[in-house]
Amino acid sequence: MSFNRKDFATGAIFAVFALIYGFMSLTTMQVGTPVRMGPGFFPAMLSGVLLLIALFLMARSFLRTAETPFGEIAWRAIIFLTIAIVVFAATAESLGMLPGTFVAGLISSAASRTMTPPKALAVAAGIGVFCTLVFTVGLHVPLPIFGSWFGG
Amino acid sequence: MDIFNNLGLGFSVVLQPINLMYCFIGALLGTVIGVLPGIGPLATIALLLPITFGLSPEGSLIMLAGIYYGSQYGGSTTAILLKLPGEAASAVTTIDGHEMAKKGRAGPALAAAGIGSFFAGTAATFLIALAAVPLTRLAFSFGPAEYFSLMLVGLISSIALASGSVAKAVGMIVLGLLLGLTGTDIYTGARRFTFGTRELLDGLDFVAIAVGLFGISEIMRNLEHSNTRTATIARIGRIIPSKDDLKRMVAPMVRGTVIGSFLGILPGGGALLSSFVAYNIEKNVSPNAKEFGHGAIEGVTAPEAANNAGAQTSFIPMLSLGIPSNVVMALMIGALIIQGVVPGPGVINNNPTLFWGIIASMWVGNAMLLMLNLPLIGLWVRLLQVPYNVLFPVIVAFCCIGTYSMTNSPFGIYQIALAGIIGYALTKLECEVPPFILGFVLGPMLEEHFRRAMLISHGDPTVFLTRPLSALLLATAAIVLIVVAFPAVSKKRNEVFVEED
Repeated sequence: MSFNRKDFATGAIFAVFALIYGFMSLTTMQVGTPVRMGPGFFPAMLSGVLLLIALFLMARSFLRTAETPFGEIAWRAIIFLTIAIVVFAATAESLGMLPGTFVAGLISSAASRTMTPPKALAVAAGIGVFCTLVFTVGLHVPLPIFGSWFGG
Repeated sequence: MDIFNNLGLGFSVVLQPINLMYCFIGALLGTVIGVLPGIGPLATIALLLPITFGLSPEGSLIMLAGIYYGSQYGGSTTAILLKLPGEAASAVTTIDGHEMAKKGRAGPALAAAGIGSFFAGTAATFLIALAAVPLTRLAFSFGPAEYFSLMLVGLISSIALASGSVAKAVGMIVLGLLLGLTGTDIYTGARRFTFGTRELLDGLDFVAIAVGLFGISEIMRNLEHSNTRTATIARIGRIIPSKDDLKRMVAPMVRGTVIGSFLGILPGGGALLSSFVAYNIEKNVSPNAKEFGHGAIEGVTAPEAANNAGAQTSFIPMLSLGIPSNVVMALMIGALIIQGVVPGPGVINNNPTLFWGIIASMWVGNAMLLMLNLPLIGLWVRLLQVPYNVLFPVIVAFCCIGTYSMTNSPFGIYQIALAGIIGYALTKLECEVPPFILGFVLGPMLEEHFRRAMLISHGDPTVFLTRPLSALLLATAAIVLIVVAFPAVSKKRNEVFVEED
């Protein structure tokens, strides 16, 4: 069976959100009346609208089957950029600005297929020094140059 | 005349050395980042937003406004020299701008863009100063029903600018509205959608979400292709336009300014729409119509003037009504709120120095741009040669630090990562992010006014239709929705956006 995968997937994502948020609004919050609306009223209404749109998109995906190609998916970029950001979030306070941005720079460099290790090291070192100078020294962002792991 | 007193007050704010410096830094940073291909005004502001948090409200908004028109300006430089629009609004500039560059007339093309922008900026500044007070007065007659309807117009209009399916765009708006409600309910104090976490009590972090959705997902998209950009930059040559060039620039400059100023005020309008419309009109009225597409200076001047005028006048609804007409203004509203200023008609009375300071700073900033750009163009061109492999890790680091500096906790940074993945997935599914962000910002406001209106009308939903101004606004929203959903129009709309590629 052929269907428009992009429309269908979008509809499915919208439906998941609509169901979860609608369910939460109706069960965990007071809905209230139109005059005295509770915290759940407006979100429940929105969830209803979103569900309608989701159903429309999923229904249409079977009628309008033509779609533009997905193209390449940048798995490598998704993985390494996400790791870089999460690692920075988890360790920034313990590592500090200089090592933290160095590590984040190094991991995110791996997102590009054309980056070589020596180049990545150089870029990461540059980022570390640059960010330390601009943000810690210049703009006083409250992140020490070296964090608690270095006794900072 | 009041307007001169008001502008005088504004200039006394912006001419303070510290604010002049913020204005200069904003224009400079905007130009620098705007010149880098693939980073438009939206991403630039999202990235640099956190830097401004430590400043005074005036300094912060003056700098952000500078970043906005600076990055817009930087975008036209790449459009002319590289045939790479730094942002969507300068897409039409590539057509004739790059043709001129190929003929060795890059200099006059850059000058035409600069002079056109400056003229438009000056005119739009006066227009804002003139229109702001009466509009603010009108805003005071707005009740909750009118506000609700006006925001609906803004949201619906954002669909007109999204290039994909109307149903998806509406869905993205609703999703944005829904996620925007995360946090503590202002009326009852109840927790909503916090999933039991303490961190989400204040809601999802607007800056982190914007940075992730625009910045990180954009990087992922750029890394899809392994080929690294090899830029062939046109030679610039003589900058100063000839007498004939200047003569040919005058009328398009004026027409572009008028078109841009008007479209900028409309909710959902702004720089992008302005430049497209101005180019098409110019193509039809110009005596040199035959030259269009082959390097007509009119084809650079008119859209550049229009997009600058549109960018400026889009501040009008934001400043006088507190309603963002486009996503950049949504970010500005976010900045105002973070600065402790409640956006809306009260700003002009409660914070006159802020209000008039921003307006005066626009003129000053535009003058700075002209001085920054034309003589230093060679310097900016060199920026175009920074390889993307160096650029993107720097942007990632900036995103993380910027968000951290705002929240002082790692929690916001995790949101960037998540928003990045979601943003990338959504663009892959041809869902556009700007309507989502607009919904996200407007969600709490929309709900507040909806609840208030219903409370006042004792639960009667017809209040939105029986109040004339509100009914008029709703009718506008309905017309826009019908127009964009109508197949013939949406086909036309697609053509416009295909041309842009």
